[in-house]
Amino acid sequence: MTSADALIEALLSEAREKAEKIIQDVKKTAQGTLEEQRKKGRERAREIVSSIDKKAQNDSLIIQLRNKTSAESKAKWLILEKKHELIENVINQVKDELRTLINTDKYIHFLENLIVEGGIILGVTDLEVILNEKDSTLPLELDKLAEKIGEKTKSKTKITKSAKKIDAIGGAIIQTTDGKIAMNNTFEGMLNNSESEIRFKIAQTLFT
Amino acid sequence: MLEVLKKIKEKQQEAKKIIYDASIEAQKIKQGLLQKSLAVNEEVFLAEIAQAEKRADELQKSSSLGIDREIIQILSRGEQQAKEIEIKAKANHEKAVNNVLEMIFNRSEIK
Repeated sequence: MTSADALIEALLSEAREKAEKIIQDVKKTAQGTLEEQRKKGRERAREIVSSIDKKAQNDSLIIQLRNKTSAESKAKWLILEKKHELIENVINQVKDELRTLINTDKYIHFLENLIVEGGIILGVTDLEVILNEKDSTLPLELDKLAEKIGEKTKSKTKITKSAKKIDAIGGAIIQTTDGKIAMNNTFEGMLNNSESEIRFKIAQTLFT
Repeated sequence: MLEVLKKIKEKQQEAKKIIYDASIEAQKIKQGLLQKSLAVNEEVFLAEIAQAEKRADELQKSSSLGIDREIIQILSRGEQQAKEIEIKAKANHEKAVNNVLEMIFNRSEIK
């Protein structure tokens, strides 16, 4: 190899090295730039990611709380339904007992008392009693009952039996003859009128 | 001698071209990089959000599962309480019936 050839070879070799370095440098810069952009992309997403994470945590707590509250409500309902059922059982038995009572001898006396009590409360001279089909056949001494009422109200009282019939286990509706004022002393009426007190008393007896 | 000089000059030109070509290639790489870097930025941005959403979904699912045991316990406690109430109530059932009958028979107590 001549010295000229060596010089040429050196020139070309140097050029190739420079070219290689240019490419390598730009590739290195490219790697750095891409890494930088990845970082920027993550940075840009950080706030949104943080908000998604926070929302997910909150949602998770809400779901847990909601499910727990729903379960607690179900449990409470379970207990309330059971209590309601037990109270209903008592009321049903009370009605059964009353159905038994109406077939006993003492019922007529009890019915008379209810009529007198209603008459005294109404405090008018002309009264009418409405009974169920069965009780309408009972030998009620209405004149004597009217007397008893009159003694209490200090006025001459008259009681008549209405031709109307009521659908009730027992007891009577006592009303003025024009029907404007009435006292519902049927068993159902008494149970309905005092329903909340009765249920309260049953609950007290059953659950405390 | 002239021949040699001419050859050297030619090779100098060739060397310059090698460097020039490399610069052009570098420019192309830079231009490609500009577009790629924007895409990479967006890609990472979207991937981070997608991962966060996936985490959120998993957390939502696991939060429902995690509380199942507690819910079963709450319901079971409720059932147990209902049973205890029923046992106690059955023992007092007759007394409650009699109390109500007494209220009906003794009207003054109701009023």
